[in-house]
Amino acid sequence: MTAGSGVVLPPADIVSPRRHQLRGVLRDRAALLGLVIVVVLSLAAIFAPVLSRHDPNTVDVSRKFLSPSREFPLGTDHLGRDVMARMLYGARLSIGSTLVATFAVTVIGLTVGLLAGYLGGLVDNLLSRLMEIVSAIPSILLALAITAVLGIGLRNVLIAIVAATWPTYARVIRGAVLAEREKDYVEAARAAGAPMRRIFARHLLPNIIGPAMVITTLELGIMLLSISALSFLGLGVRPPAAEWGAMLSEGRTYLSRAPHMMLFPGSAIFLMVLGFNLLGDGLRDLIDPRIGAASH
Amino acid sequence: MPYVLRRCLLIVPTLLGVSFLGFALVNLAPGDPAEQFARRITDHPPTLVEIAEARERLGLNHSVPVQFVQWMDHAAHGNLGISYATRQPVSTELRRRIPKTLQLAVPASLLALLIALPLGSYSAVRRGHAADQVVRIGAMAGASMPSFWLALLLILLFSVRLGWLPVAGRGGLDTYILPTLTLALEPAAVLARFTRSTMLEALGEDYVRTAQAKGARQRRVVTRHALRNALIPVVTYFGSRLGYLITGAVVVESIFVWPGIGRLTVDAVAQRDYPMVQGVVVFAGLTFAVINLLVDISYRLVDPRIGVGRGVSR
Repeated sequence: MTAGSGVVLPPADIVSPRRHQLRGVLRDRAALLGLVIVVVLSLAAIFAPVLSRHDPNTVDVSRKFLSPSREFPLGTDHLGRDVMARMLYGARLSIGSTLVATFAVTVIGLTVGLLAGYLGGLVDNLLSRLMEIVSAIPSILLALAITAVLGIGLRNVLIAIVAATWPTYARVIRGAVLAEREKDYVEAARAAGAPMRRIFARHLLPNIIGPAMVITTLELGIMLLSISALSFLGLGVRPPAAEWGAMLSEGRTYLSRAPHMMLFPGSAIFLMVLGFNLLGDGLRDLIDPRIGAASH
Repeated sequence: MPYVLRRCLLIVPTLLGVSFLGFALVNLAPGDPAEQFARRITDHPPTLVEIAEARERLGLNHSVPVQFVQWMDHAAHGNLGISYATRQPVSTELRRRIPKTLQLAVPASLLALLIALPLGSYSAVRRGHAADQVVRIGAMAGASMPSFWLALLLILLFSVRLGWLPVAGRGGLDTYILPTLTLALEPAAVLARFTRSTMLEALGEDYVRTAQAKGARQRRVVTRHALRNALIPVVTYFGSRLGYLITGAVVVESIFVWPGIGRLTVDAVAQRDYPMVQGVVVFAGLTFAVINLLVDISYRLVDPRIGVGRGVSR
């Protein structure tokens, strides 16, 4: 199973894996860039009220479509609202909902993957069929269909995306558990009569955390893209709430008149996704170069 | 042949599951389906008699399992119900839209292959050099690019500023350029990354080293030995991307006002046209299952060792 990767992780109890990973990420310049992008944009979201000079929702049609200036660093939109303030508050909604959706997918994916992989047999069979069925439909399409049933709104969009994307996550975890389960030390622990809970917590979980961290990080980018796409299609937040995908959709209408309206939210989504991907890639190279193909 | 047969049988549970999912979606939708149907199919608020007729017509008087069996029976005969919005059979609309989606998906996926294979292999061969870095950064950026933003950027540049290409719509050949480019970028980037890593793996294999050791030219080693073997997982992967392009071009079709499956889905969702949504879901599941089936079978048929043997003997 060991491809000539050259990356060998020390056992968990010799060097704390987290410290090891952090140091590795800092050495990898691309991953570091990803980390910087993610941190900067997240800080912008957190300090949105401090950083914005105007209210994001104040309408003033006398100053609509202004190009970027000192007063309005990113210009104003079709209702004269400050694009800078809307970008900052939009970051809260975009990044916040990305975190919520990713957290949900991680919890479901880990639970299902661990259960299927560890219990095997009928449970694994049923869960695997379910994953197959759900992933037989492209996630964006399934998310759209679920939104059609649940109705429009950010919360429903998040539910729909999570319901459509968890199998990818669960499948990778299941694979990792299966690979781990066959190893001698788990075999030995079971033979020695260790209770299942102990085997789970002491042996399986620590070895699953690495791949899980990688997929979770990559999943962040996928989530932001999916949420933005559905918002762009007008299914997510309702006006006047600021969210990057919805802002891009508004900017599309005024493409020739005020291109800055779509340039900034688009760059923000692109940069943030790039940040997540660079970070996830760096983590993957560090932890296991082989899980990449399966996780995409 | 037994393998092919076994593999064919394996898609049956998936198809059943997808059909059930599609069936469940409509039944989970808020409101009484019979009332919905009557309201959408007539131009006035439906009377109780009309609702009862609709209930009869849709078979809603039966228990849910019976309804599912009936629905499956109809679906198997190509009858996916009547669209609320167009009042036409869903299958007719699907048949009208599928070719239009394919007209974008096929050129886009070919373009993606054409970009990704050479770039990915070149990047692997020149590992660590400047060219490799450029390809890697480009592929990473391409994979992170939201397709809807790329579409707007292309429209802004080529349609609004330069005025070379139409903004949207389907007509002459020039209307195909921007949507095809937009669709091709993401798979091209992902495929290039994939090609690079499988090529790197292949270049480290014994048979490649043997070929190098016996003095074969680098170019020959790369194309004859490494690429041939790297190609198999790449093609498998390409198959799954093709499925996405056929069914998942939702955003791009919607931006370019392209009358394909993706735009049909968005419109159906906006109008709460449940039978249409259901039809698209079943179509997508079917397409995916069949493409995966074909990829698996062809993977099995193309034995990697045969490819190498031929390459060496010539």
